[in-house]
Amino acid sequence: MIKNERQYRITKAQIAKFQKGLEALEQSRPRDVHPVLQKAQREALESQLADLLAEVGEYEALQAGRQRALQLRSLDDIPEALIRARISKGLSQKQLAEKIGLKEQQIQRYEATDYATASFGRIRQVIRALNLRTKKAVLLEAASK
Amino acid sequence: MLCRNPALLDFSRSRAPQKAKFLGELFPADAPEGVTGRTFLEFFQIDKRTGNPKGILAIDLRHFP
Repeated sequence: MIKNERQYRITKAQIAKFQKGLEALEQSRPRDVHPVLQKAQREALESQLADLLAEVGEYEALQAGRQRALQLRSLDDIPEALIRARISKGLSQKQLAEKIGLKEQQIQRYEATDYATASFGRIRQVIRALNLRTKKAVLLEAASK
Repeated sequence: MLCRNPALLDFSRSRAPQKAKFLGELFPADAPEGVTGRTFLEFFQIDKRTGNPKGILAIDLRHFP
Protein backbone atom coordinates (compact mmCIF):
# COMPACT_ATOMS: atom_id res chain seq x y z
CA MET A 1 0.00 0.00 0.00
CA ILE A 2 1.27 3.48 -0.91
CA LYS A 3 1.28 5.59 2.24
CA ASN A 4 2.73 8.94 1.20
CA GLU A 5 3.71 11.18 -1.71
CA ARG A 6 7.26 9.87 -1.76
CA GLN A 7 6.11 6.28 -2.16
CA TYR A 8 3.64 7.49 -4.78
CA ARG A 9 6.47 9.04 -6.80
CA ILE A 10 8.66 5.92 -6.41
CA THR A 11 5.83 3.68 -7.60
CA LYS A 12 5.09 5.94 -10.57
CA ALA A 13 8.78 5.79 -11.54
CA GLN A 14 8.71 1.98 -11.28
CA ILE A 15 5.62 1.88 -13.49
CA ALA A 16 7.45 3.88 -16.15
CA LYS A 17 10.36 1.42 -16.02
CA PHE A 18 8.09 -1.61 -16.40
CA GLN A 19 6.25 0.03 -19.29
CA LYS A 20 9.56 0.79 -20.99
CA GLY A 21 10.70 -2.77 -20.30
CA LEU A 22 7.59 -4.20 -21.92
CA GLU A 23 8.03 -1.99 -24.98
CA ALA A 24 11.66 -3.03 -25.28
CA LEU A 25 10.68 -6.69 -24.94
CA GLU A 26 8.13 -6.34 -27.74
CA GLN A 27 10.82 -4.95 -30.01
CA SER A 28 13.64 -7.35 -29.13
CA ARG A 29 11.99 -10.80 -29.41
CA PRO A 30 15.17 -12.89 -29.06
CA ARG A 31 15.11 -16.01 -31.23
CA ASP A 32 17.09 -18.17 -28.83
CA VAL A 33 14.48 -18.01 -26.04
CA HIS A 34 11.78 -20.70 -25.94
CA PRO A 35 8.30 -19.27 -26.73
CA VAL A 36 6.94 -20.55 -23.40
CA LEU A 37 9.67 -18.69 -21.55
CA GLN A 38 9.21 -15.60 -23.72
CA LYS A 39 5.52 -15.56 -22.84
CA ALA A 40 6.30 -16.09 -19.15
CA GLN A 41 8.79 -13.22 -19.15
CA ARG A 42 6.26 -10.87 -20.70
CA GLU A 43 3.49 -11.96 -18.33
CA ALA A 44 5.77 -11.60 -15.32
CA LEU A 45 6.42 -7.96 -16.27
CA GLU A 46 2.73 -7.34 -16.98
CA SER A 47 1.73 -8.94 -13.70
CA GLN A 48 4.07 -6.81 -11.59
CA LEU A 49 3.08 -3.72 -13.57
CA ALA A 50 -0.60 -4.44 -12.85
CA ASP A 51 0.16 -4.59 -9.10
CA LEU A 52 1.92 -1.22 -9.23
CA LEU A 53 -0.90 0.34 -11.25
CA ALA A 54 -3.44 -0.98 -8.73
CA GLU A 55 -1.46 0.57 -5.84
CA VAL A 56 -1.32 3.93 -7.60
CA GLY A 57 -5.01 3.68 -8.48
CA GLU A 58 -5.92 2.99 -4.86
CA TYR A 59 -3.86 5.94 -3.62
CA GLU A 60 -5.33 8.31 -6.20
CA ALA A 61 -8.85 7.17 -5.35
CA LEU A 62 -8.17 7.78 -1.65
CA GLN A 63 -6.76 11.23 -2.42
CA ALA A 64 -9.83 12.08 -4.46
CA GLY A 65 -11.74 11.48 -1.23
CA ARG A 66 -14.56 9.58 -2.86
CA GLN A 67 -14.98 7.09 -0.02
CA ARG A 68 -17.27 8.06 2.83
CA ALA A 69 -16.63 5.08 5.08
CA LEU A 70 -13.94 2.44 5.51
CA GLN A 71 -15.13 -1.04 6.34
CA LEU A 72 -13.08 -3.06 8.82
CA ARG A 73 -13.13 -6.84 8.93
CA SER A 74 -11.43 -6.90 12.29
CA LEU A 75 -9.46 -4.83 14.76
CA ASP A 76 -6.35 -5.72 12.76
CA ASP A 77 -7.59 -3.45 9.97
CA ILE A 78 -7.51 -0.33 12.14
CA PRO A 79 -3.93 0.75 11.33
CA GLU A 80 -4.54 0.61 7.59
CA ALA A 81 -7.87 2.39 8.04
CA LEU A 82 -6.12 5.22 9.90
CA ILE A 83 -3.62 5.62 7.07
CA ARG A 84 -6.34 5.47 4.43
CA ALA A 85 -8.43 7.98 6.36
CA ARG A 86 -5.49 10.41 6.59
CA ILE A 87 -4.86 10.24 2.83
CA SER A 88 -8.56 10.52 2.14
CA LYS A 89 -8.81 13.67 4.27
CA GLY A 90 -5.96 15.21 2.30
CA LEU A 91 -3.55 15.37 5.23
CA SER A 92 0.16 14.67 4.87
CA GLN A 93 2.02 12.74 7.57
CA LYS A 94 3.54 16.06 8.63
CA GLN A 95 0.16 17.78 8.94
CA LEU A 96 -1.26 14.94 11.03
CA ALA A 97 1.84 15.04 13.23
CA GLU A 98 1.41 18.77 13.78
CA LYS A 99 -2.23 18.34 14.80
CA ILE A 100 -1.16 15.96 17.56
CA GLY A 101 2.01 17.81 18.47
CA LEU A 102 4.41 15.16 17.24
CA LYS A 103 7.29 15.16 14.79
CA GLU A 104 6.61 14.05 11.23
CA GLN A 105 9.05 11.17 11.68
CA GLN A 106 6.92 9.72 14.48
CA ILE A 107 3.87 9.43 12.22
CA GLN A 108 6.13 8.01 9.49
CA ARG A 109 7.33 5.36 11.93
CA TYR A 110 3.82 4.57 13.14
CA GLU A 111 2.57 4.13 9.60
CA ALA A 112 5.60 2.17 8.42
CA THR A 113 5.02 -0.32 11.24
CA ASP A 114 1.21 -0.23 10.96
CA TYR A 115 0.92 1.51 14.32
CA ALA A 116 2.39 -1.58 16.04
CA THR A 117 4.06 0.49 18.76
CA ALA A 118 1.35 3.11 19.21
CA SER A 119 -0.49 3.11 22.52
CA PHE A 120 -4.27 3.00 22.65
CA GLY A 121 -4.22 6.61 23.83
CA ARG A 122 -2.18 7.61 20.79
CA ILE A 123 -4.56 5.83 18.43
CA ARG A 124 -7.46 7.72 20.01
CA GLN A 125 -5.54 10.98 19.46
CA VAL A 126 -5.07 10.11 15.78
CA ILE A 127 -8.76 9.27 15.42
CA ARG A 128 -9.67 12.62 17.00
CA ALA A 129 -7.15 14.56 14.91
CA LEU A 130 -8.55 13.00 11.75
CA ASN A 131 -12.05 13.83 12.93
CA LEU A 132 -13.28 10.28 12.38
CA ARG A 133 -16.39 8.69 13.65
CA THR A 134 -16.14 4.97 14.37
CA LYS A 135 -18.91 2.47 14.79
CA LYS A 136 -17.87 -0.90 16.08
CA ALA A 137 -19.31 -4.15 17.19
CA VAL A 138 -17.65 -6.72 19.37
CA LEU A 139 -18.96 -10.15 18.46
CA LEU A 140 -19.05 -12.57 21.33
CA GLU A 141 -18.90 -15.80 19.41
CA ALA A 142 -15.48 -17.34 18.78
CA ALA A 143 -13.71 -16.54 15.53
CA SER A 144 -14.11 -19.29 12.96
CA LYS A 145 -10.82 -20.74 11.76
CA MET B 1 10.91 -27.75 -13.73
CA LEU B 2 8.47 -25.31 -15.36
CA CYS B 3 6.51 -28.08 -17.09
CA ARG B 4 6.07 -29.99 -13.84
CA ASN B 5 4.92 -26.86 -12.00
CA PRO B 6 2.47 -24.96 -14.18
CA ALA B 7 1.81 -22.61 -11.25
CA LEU B 8 5.23 -21.08 -11.98
CA LEU B 9 3.93 -19.95 -15.36
CA ASP B 10 0.68 -18.58 -13.99
CA PHE B 11 0.90 -14.83 -13.32
CA SER B 12 -2.81 -14.24 -12.86
CA ARG B 13 -4.28 -12.60 -9.76
CA SER B 14 -0.96 -11.10 -8.62
CA ARG B 15 0.70 -14.53 -8.78
CA ALA B 16 -1.79 -16.03 -6.32
CA PRO B 17 -1.31 -19.61 -7.65
CA GLN B 18 2.47 -19.35 -7.13
CA LYS B 19 2.09 -17.86 -3.69
CA ALA B 20 -0.37 -20.56 -2.65
CA LYS B 21 1.83 -23.42 -3.79
CA PHE B 22 5.33 -22.13 -3.07
CA LEU B 23 4.72 -19.36 -0.51
CA GLY B 24 6.71 -17.12 -2.81
CA GLU B 25 6.99 -15.90 -6.35
CA LEU B 26 9.24 -16.56 -9.30
CA PHE B 27 9.67 -13.98 -12.02
CA PRO B 28 11.37 -15.54 -15.02
CA ALA B 29 13.80 -13.10 -16.58
CA ASP B 30 16.55 -13.29 -19.13
CA ALA B 31 20.18 -12.53 -18.34
CA PRO B 32 20.69 -9.58 -15.96
CA GLU B 33 21.75 -7.41 -18.89
CA GLY B 34 18.57 -8.26 -20.86
CA VAL B 35 15.33 -6.31 -20.79
CA THR B 36 13.42 -8.38 -18.22
CA GLY B 37 16.50 -9.10 -16.13
CA ARG B 38 17.42 -5.45 -15.88
CA THR B 39 13.86 -4.36 -15.11
CA PHE B 40 13.39 -6.82 -12.25
CA LEU B 41 16.92 -6.35 -10.93
CA GLU B 42 16.41 -2.59 -10.69
CA PHE B 43 12.93 -3.06 -9.25
CA PHE B 44 14.03 -5.30 -6.41
CA GLN B 45 17.08 -3.17 -5.63
CA ILE B 46 15.00 -0.12 -4.73
CA ASP B 47 13.29 0.12 -1.35
CA LYS B 48 9.70 0.88 -2.26
CA ARG B 49 9.10 2.80 0.97
CA THR B 50 12.10 5.12 0.79
CA GLY B 51 13.43 4.93 -2.76
CA ASN B 52 16.86 4.08 -1.36
CA PRO B 53 19.05 1.36 -2.89
CA LYS B 54 18.50 -2.01 -1.24
CA GLY B 55 20.70 -5.07 -1.07
CA ILE B 56 19.39 -8.32 -2.51
CA LEU B 57 20.64 -11.87 -2.34
CA ALA B 58 21.39 -13.44 -5.70
CA ILE B 59 21.36 -17.20 -6.18
CA ASP B 60 22.27 -18.44 -9.62
CA LEU B 61 19.79 -21.28 -10.27
CA ARG B 62 21.98 -22.66 -13.06
CA HIS B 63 24.40 -23.91 -10.42
CA PHE B 64 21.78 -26.26 -8.98
CA PRO B 65 21.75 -29.85 -10.20
